[in-house]
Amino acid sequence: MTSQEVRLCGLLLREHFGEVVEKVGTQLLRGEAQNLRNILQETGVSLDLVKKSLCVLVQHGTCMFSTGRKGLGRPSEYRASCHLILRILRYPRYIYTAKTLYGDTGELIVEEMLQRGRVTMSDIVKVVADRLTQTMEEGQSMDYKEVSSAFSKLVETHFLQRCPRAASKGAADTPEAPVRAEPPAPESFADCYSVPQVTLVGRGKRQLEDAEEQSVAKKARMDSETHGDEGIYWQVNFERFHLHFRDQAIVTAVANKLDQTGGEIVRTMLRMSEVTTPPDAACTKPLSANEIFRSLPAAYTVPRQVLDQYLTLLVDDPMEFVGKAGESGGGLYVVNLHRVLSNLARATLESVVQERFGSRSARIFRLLLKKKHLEQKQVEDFAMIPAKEAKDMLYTLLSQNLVQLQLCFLRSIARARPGAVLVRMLERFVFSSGNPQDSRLCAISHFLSLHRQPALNCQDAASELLQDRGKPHPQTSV
Amino acid sequence: MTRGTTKGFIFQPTDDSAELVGGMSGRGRGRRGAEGASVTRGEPLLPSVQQPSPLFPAMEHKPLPLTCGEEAEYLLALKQELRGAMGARPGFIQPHAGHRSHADVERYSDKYHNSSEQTDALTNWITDWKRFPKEIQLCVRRSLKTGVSGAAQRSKRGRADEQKASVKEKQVLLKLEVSQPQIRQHQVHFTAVNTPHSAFNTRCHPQCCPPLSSPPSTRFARYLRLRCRHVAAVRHFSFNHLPHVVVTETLANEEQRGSEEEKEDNHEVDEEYEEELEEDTDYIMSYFDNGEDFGTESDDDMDEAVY
Repeated sequence: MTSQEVRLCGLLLREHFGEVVEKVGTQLLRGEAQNLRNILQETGVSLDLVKKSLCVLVQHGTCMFSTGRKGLGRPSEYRASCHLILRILRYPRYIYTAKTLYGDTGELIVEEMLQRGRVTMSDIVKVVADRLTQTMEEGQSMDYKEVSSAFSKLVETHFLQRCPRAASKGAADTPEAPVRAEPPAPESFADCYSVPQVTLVGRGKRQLEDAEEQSVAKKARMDSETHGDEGIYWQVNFERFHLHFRDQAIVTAVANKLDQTGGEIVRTMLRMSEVTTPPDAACTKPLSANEIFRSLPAAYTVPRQVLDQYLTLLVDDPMEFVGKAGESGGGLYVVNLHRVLSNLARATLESVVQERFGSRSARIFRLLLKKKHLEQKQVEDFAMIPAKEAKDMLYTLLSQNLVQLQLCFLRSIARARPGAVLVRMLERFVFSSGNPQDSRLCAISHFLSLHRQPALNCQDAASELLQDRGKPHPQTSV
Repeated sequence: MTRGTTKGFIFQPTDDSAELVGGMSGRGRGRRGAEGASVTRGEPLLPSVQQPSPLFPAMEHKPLPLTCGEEAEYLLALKQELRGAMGARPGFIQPHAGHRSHADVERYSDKYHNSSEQTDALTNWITDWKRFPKEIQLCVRRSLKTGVSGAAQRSKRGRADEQKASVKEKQVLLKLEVSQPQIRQHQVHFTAVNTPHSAFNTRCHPQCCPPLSSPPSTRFARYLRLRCRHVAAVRHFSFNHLPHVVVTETLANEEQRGSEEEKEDNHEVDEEYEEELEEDTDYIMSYFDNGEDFGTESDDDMDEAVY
């Protein structure tokens, strides 16, 4: 977690939960698991405010707690992680996705769930029905059944999931329960996606005048109705949304490169392998061309031959959208998920360099991406750019931290050649580039980590190389 | 090492030395005069310098425009709405001082005014307290149904004390049960003195309180002192009681209350005064009104004349 990430998380917490939660959250992000006393000491916030902030953070799933590891008597330890808080940035996208898939009802369900963290089905149905009733005309109101059906649909497609049962309760409980460091994953529970039998009859209520509303609310508190789903809490399944974004990115890329029909073919392939593909798979299960042909949507039916042509084009494309896995059934095809994402990430980086520094610098950059290490002279030769300009552009890229200088002593020569310079990519570019997609961001870090190699930096060699330009020493610290 | 092409400007942009355009010039500014470059002070400027240099260097490649379109605007609107809505939720924790307009002085009434509404809203929102570690569970409800354990007040004290307390409490219970008839008499006496909703506000003579039958162990005494400190500090009553006597009373009262669960009037009393009673105090909230809101409401909308 870099300091900029921590700062961004702090700002997000402040915008959504206030300054107190920001202080507590940044403290949790800074170190490893901490217990309550530690947090109190470091932040200097009063005890009840710290407790409230921790409650809020745990309720929203951004803070994990675990019982002390060193024995049963230790207090619980809390920790937060950046990627859980950075998810808040994508809340509008989640809500918009739900809107496109399930309409206004779905949109409001997801929005209310994001605001509340964990909630029971009956609560959320009532709240959403009331909200929808507000927007409807006088005299109309939304039935609970419609909202319940929208909720069930969201659960069926795994966009919502049940919260895992409470972790081991505490030291006072059964000592034979194993003390776990990590909370159990929600998927490990059998009925993670089963909608409970809930008796919800009624319609949404319109907001009354202030005085009346308070007495009504009070009465509601007094007679707590039970709907049959006490203790079953639901949360948004963020991973499923991310997979959806990934699929969307691939389909738009194909649609941009080929055309709409090609995009629909790939979308069909992805939809067919939704349930059979695990989330972190490198490619989908093989699908035969016959199956794809049968599953194409009605609006985009093409003759069989045209489909085969499209698939061949996709296979031959340098972006490697689709791969061929066999010949049976008219040809077995897979979608190469990881490779597509890394190629998309690479294309994003190249376009950023092109927009900022020009097409010739982009050519050098692409060259370096392909060849990984090049000497100064080799860069000039391969890129076919005159020496002086090549040096200029290389230096620009270096000063913006896109490439890095590295000294290498060649063993084949008796004397070390201090002038030999290797150039390679830097990972930190990821965070200075402008506005990449989120799935691409993960792919970028994954992709770049493959190229990382330990190296020595030497300032003197670089300065000798650049001395005739009269420029100050380049930044060689990582 | 040559200095490169110095252009002889006096006014240079004060950028980082890594800036391409003004690379060396920024550093060499102080020494320019000594090098014998063209202009010295007092003389008219070069014809090419008529105004201060621009604030930002000229860009070779203009950036692309921002993503526009329906989707982007809708996402932006969603984001702003979400931020506003989260600000109104109970999850938005206000610091103590910010709750009131007068953040300059710490006031005695802050203690009773501040945490109540927020805690209420929070406990309304978060209902599954089982998923939270015990030490951060807020006061769940001011239900005095579980009389003896007093779980609500315990949550503030931490685990170690809690364990000790629960063990010691069982001992105390046994002792109380043994001396039950004695306490019942005095219970009658207490209720005559007390008002209905200040059951803890006992003011009785040391004579009528029975001393403990056996001298308490040192750990127990420490526990009692802890308990008493908690009780005394919050109650702000100055009694000349012996510590163990106060505790015996309160424990006895709690135990009595626990055994009288079935009585309807207790429940009604609890619920009726729920909104006015706060934790740790027996006074209704208007007792803590410090009179600073007097006259702060605007009189603009008054229809009647003010004399």
